[in-house]
Amino acid sequence: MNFKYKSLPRKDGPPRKTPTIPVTFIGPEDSIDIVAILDSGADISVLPLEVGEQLGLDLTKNRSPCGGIGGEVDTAEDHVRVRIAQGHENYTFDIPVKVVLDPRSSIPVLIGREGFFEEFEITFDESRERISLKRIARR
Amino acid sequence: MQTNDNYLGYMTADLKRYLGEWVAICNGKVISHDPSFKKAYIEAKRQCPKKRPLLTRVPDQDTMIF
Repeated sequence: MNFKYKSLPRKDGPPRKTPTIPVTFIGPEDSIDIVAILDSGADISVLPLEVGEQLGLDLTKNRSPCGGIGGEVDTAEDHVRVRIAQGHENYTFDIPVKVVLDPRSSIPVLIGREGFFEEFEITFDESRERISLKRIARR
Repeated sequence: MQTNDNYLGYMTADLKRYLGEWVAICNGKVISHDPSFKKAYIEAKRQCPKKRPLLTRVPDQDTMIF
């Protein structure tokens, strides 16, 4: 599967080419199609509070502070099913996610490494502004 | 499952006016936007009741990475 980088606007400065992919998040209460940022620098995937609530994720367990360049925030960890599809390819599997509990957070949906990057051989082709995901064959 | 139309609509949309907002795309077009995910999502489901909208948040600052 190949996805082009998306040119995202910025308040100050020129647009920034960003590696994004369309993902269906499937929770206990809803399933939602979302364009997420594919983030090789993130240990784990991240969802804003409202998305976690809409999916019906359990936000009461596995609470912990989570640190990054954006500072430290309180999170709750759960698992969510994700589906990624393009053309005849269609893959569904579970990944862990941290839901940011601060409703004022402006964090976008991030797909991090744990549970996702081991499913694919992923290439970030900056020169062609393209992400390639090749499913890793399992024995 | 996301439709190809919605993804193509996202890729070609000029999102400049939606900085800091959630945007919902249905039938390849932006049909709702709001700083609140839930408001944008509910309005998109109201306008496109039988289809699946595609949502994304347009960052209003350089993305801070976890």
